[in-house]
Amino acid sequence: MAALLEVTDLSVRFKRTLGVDGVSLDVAAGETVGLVGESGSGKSTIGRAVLGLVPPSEGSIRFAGQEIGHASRRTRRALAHELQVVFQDPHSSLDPRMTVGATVREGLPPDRRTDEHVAALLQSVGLPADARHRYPHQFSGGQRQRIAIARAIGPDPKLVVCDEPISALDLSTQAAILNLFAELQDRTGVALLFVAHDLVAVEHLSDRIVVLYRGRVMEAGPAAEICAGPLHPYTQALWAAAPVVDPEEQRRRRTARAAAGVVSASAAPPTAQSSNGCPFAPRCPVAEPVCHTVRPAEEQVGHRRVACHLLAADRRAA
Amino acid sequence: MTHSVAAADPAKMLAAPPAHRFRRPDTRLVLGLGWIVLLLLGALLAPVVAPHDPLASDIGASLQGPSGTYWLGTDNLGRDVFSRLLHGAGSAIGGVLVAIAVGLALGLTIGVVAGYVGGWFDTLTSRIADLILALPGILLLLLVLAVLGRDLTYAMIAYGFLVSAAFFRLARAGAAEVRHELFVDAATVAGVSPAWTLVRHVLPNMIRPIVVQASLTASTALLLQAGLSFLGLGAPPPAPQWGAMVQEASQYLYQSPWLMVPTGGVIVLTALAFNLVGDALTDERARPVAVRDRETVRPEPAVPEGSVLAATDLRVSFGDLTVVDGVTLAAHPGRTLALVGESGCGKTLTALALAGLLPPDAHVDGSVVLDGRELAGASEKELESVRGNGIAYISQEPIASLDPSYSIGSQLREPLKLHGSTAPRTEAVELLRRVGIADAEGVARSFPHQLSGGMAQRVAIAIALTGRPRVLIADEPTTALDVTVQAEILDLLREIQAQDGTAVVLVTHDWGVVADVADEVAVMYAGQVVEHGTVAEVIAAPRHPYTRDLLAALPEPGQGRAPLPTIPGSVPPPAEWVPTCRYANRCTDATEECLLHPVVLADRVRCLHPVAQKEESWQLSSR
Repeated sequence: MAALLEVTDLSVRFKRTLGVDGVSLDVAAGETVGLVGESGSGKSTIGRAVLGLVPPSEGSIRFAGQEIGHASRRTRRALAHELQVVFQDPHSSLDPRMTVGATVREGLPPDRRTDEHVAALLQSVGLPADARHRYPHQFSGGQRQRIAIARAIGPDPKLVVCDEPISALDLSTQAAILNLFAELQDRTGVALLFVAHDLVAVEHLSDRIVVLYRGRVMEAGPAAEICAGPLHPYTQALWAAAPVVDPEEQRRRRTARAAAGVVSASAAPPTAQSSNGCPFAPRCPVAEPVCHTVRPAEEQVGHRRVACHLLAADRRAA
Repeated sequence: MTHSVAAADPAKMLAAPPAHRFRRPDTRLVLGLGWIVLLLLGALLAPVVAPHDPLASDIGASLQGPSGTYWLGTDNLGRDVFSRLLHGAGSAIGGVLVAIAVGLALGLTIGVVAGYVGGWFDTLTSRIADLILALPGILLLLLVLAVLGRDLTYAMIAYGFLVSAAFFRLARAGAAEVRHELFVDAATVAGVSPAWTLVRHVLPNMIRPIVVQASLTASTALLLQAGLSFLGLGAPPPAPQWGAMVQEASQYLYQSPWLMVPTGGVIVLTALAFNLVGDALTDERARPVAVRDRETVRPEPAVPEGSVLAATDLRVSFGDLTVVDGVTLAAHPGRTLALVGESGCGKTLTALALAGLLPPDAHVDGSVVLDGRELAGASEKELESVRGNGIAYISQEPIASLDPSYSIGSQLREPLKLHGSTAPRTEAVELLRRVGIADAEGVARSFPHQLSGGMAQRVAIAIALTGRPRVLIADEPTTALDVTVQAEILDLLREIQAQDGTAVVLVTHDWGVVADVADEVAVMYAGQVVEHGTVAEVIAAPRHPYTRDLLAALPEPGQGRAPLPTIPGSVPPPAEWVPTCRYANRCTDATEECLLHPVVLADRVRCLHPVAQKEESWQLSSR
């Protein structure tokens, strides 16, 4: 089956640096794909490029079989009902001067802009129907994110790009929003491109995960598989650094992390953007000379794609 | 989710009702607008209202004071000053409106487009605006009047052109700022056209500064207009014009000083009215209005033995609003105390209170004892001697906490000198090495903006260490950092603690960080500590239902996408804090009893129905 969203060799250049450097990924209908990475990994930029908020420098973005990387404003407008977004900060993503009802109504197709429809939408995300008469500042962070979700799912989109949708929320509301995403997806079959730095949250919701570092894909594949046994040294370092809520286990992980010997981000020399090597090589505990000079190709390992010379060498040896 | 206790209402009754009061209109606004409306009416109705013909002279009654016939007296030709002022108001206000209309029409439209579109159009129009602002205004106006003739309308159009640059800048900045708001992105994604986005989302969000600028323009336009007509550049006599009337009054200043009062006064009052309106609109009045019941709970009395820093019944309030409510805790040498909770629970304010860093309008009650010295109520001078070598503070925003205009080295040397260092230069570099910076000399020479977040946090820690503090208060020190950098910074804190025996108070909302570095935990909810204990106790066997629910709501690795347990509702804002249990209306274990009496912190938990420890069967799974 053809993928709903197909990103191929996408690069996004900002003035002098490459924010996204040859990334390929796809999202099938009804699927959740998690984009994971630290700051500077390009994960949000990929989401924004899909939404048409930043122009791609190279590569293609196909949505439902149609090239949308450089889509005209008219095409974008036609797409608006199929491709939606939920941003990180529910405080700035809602116009403070518009009622909740008006915000939700704005995104709806003309034939559905009725009070009943808006009320039903708000109720479907767990808000009271009369919320539509109020303004964003009268709601808590979690409720605002529900409003933003109602706006996104209003036109029955095929794909919603979620850019760090829970990281600005309080702990007690994060779980509720994760549940809401899962429930909506089960009910409507919407696909989610879930951009986040919280590994556990991404794993919780995603079918597949794409791990990014400095604009490149390090490892991609089924969420459960990657989380249970990350293959790429960067994925391993990322997983090892995320603390678990168990002091005993955390102590063990700390010892293991110290033994792994990942080079500190502050001690590693900055990688030159033009260098052809693996971007993680300067911090990689197992890097070899080739890692600094040749860009590793993404190789298929079972259900996964991994961009690492050493893994490739291991496989050739095996 | 089960519905929480049926009767959430008694709790509501105890709390003050949410503030929703009628906002009295600003007196300045009423006065200013009142005067302008009065003038407008006078100008419009002048032919009807004015008691005399403004041009009819009564030579026998020249230069008179106010009387029943001539309310504001007469001028040198015996014309009624009041009538002339009324008739002159039309051209005065009309001129002002022309200036504003031209300024707005040019500045606003071009500015909004420039700010929103950006690119070469923005650059070009910005340069033109700069040029206009640099023009000598009065010369341009004189030129216009010389070429086009003596009509103040031309002058006001020209003035409108000049001020359009100011409107342009405002509109451009506003549009550029709003352009980057997420709700504009959201509208774009929703397929809303750019023009509609401008009208619907961009314009309404910048209306306020524009109105303020317009009111200020109005007063300067009025004065300028009066000035020009004073110089005789306005309509030729005998047309009634305010500026010309002042000019006439000035000729008879010694014979009839009164004449200056109404003519000058009306100009002053009108300019003042415009300014008052501008002032009133500038001040966004947003004082929180809230009243709270005083609490009468006895704190758990304790300055635990061996503690280096102990807070007892610490309260912080802003006006009537209590934001930290009876917090008791202790930090021990070589150990880390984590203050955990959601935003709005008072953990950061507690940390700031411990460090003596609260803003001056905060009121602090209770006691904070550092090494046997009482800090609460200590003077700023006494606090200064404690900060640095007694208590140091690290904030969440490492880059913002450094001064952008000084090199890292000099920001380290300054406190080192204060603490009596004899070789600050070498010590600074040593400190940077100690916090794990390999290229210490290079970093010492660099400036904050050249550092990454993790590096800046290392520098902030180095600065905190200059006075060899006994207590280090770290407010979400890793929240803004990437997870691999977070792990490094937490390692660093642990290392420093092991070497120096520093007591660390760590504010965080991340239970993973708690599990990683904390020895003891205090869980805060709505300004109070609801549970405290060792990290193993609290995480493995939470006793307060809030702690239990918070931990249960965390997704766990390898769990799949099964629905997570959630907590209904959200943390109440301080204005709604009740004297009884503040978690009761979100708590599945709450009973009627919870809504009746204040609950004290006893046996490390503030709950009438603590989670029974034996029933605690679930264990946190490990990877």
